[in-house]
Amino acid sequence: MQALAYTKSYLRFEYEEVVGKNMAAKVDEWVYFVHGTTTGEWKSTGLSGEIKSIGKGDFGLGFYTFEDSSWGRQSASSWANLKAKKDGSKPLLIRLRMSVTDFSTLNRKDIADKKLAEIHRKWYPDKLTSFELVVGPVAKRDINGKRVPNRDYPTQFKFEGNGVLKLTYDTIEYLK
Amino acid sequence: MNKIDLDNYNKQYYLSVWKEMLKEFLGWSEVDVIHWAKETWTEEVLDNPDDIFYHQTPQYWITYLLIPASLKTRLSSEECIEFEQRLLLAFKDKHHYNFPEDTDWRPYKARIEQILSEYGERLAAIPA
Repeated sequence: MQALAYTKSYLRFEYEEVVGKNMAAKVDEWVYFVHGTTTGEWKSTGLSGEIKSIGKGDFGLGFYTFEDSSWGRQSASSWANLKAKKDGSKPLLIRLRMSVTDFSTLNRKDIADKKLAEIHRKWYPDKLTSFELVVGPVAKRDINGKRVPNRDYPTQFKFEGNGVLKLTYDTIEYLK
Repeated sequence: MNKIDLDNYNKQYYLSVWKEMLKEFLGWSEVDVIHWAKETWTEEVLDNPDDIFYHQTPQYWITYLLIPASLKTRLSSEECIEFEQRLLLAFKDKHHYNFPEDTDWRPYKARIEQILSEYGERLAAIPA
């Protein structure tokens, strides 16, 4: 995997030099997310600068991510690979971060499993929810067409409005 | 319905809809569609009813095919994405999550042709 730098390591080094390791520890208090996309789609949003919340999904319009865990990366990568096959471009994995302070103060809505169908009817595909963060399961349709949680995938985090503005790029990985 | 049917209900529905849509829109045969589906998405994905692939509708995965090559070269990547969204809207009605077997695809084709005509284009039969 080829990673483009935006890594925090050298920033942290400089910070440690200036204010000492105790303060530097606070710099590391981030939560990390991953977003699967393609070179075609990301080109349209820009490889740097503003993160555009143009994703349409279970929780309406926004920027959809998984938490940056092994499972989250695997899921976001699977999604990126599928989308790349659709339009013949290359899959990308975007890693983003947000300070714990910002994350903990977001106007957040958690979606219960039994509310998936109702939420889908209300917000899918492109409604704004007024919440900066909506958290809940990836949905699938069961054999009766009912929307139920898809346990093969981790919880999704959808950022919207000011929630998106508080996200910062960390790395961009070109997937194989 | 037996166990095999339950395991493949998504695959069966997607293949069935693609066969009908792509025959009407691009003139593909059933063999063409099956070849395209297996080559593009792989059986591993298609055979897993819980794959995130099935998070999107069958029409979502074919909109890019419906854009003529001559138009793709004229659109920026952002315009192309927006254009695909417009094409998706051509399918939006009470059936768009579950098209019945006897769906008449001609009205959908007419809406797609209408969108393409705004750019001086029309659906073009392309090889699978």
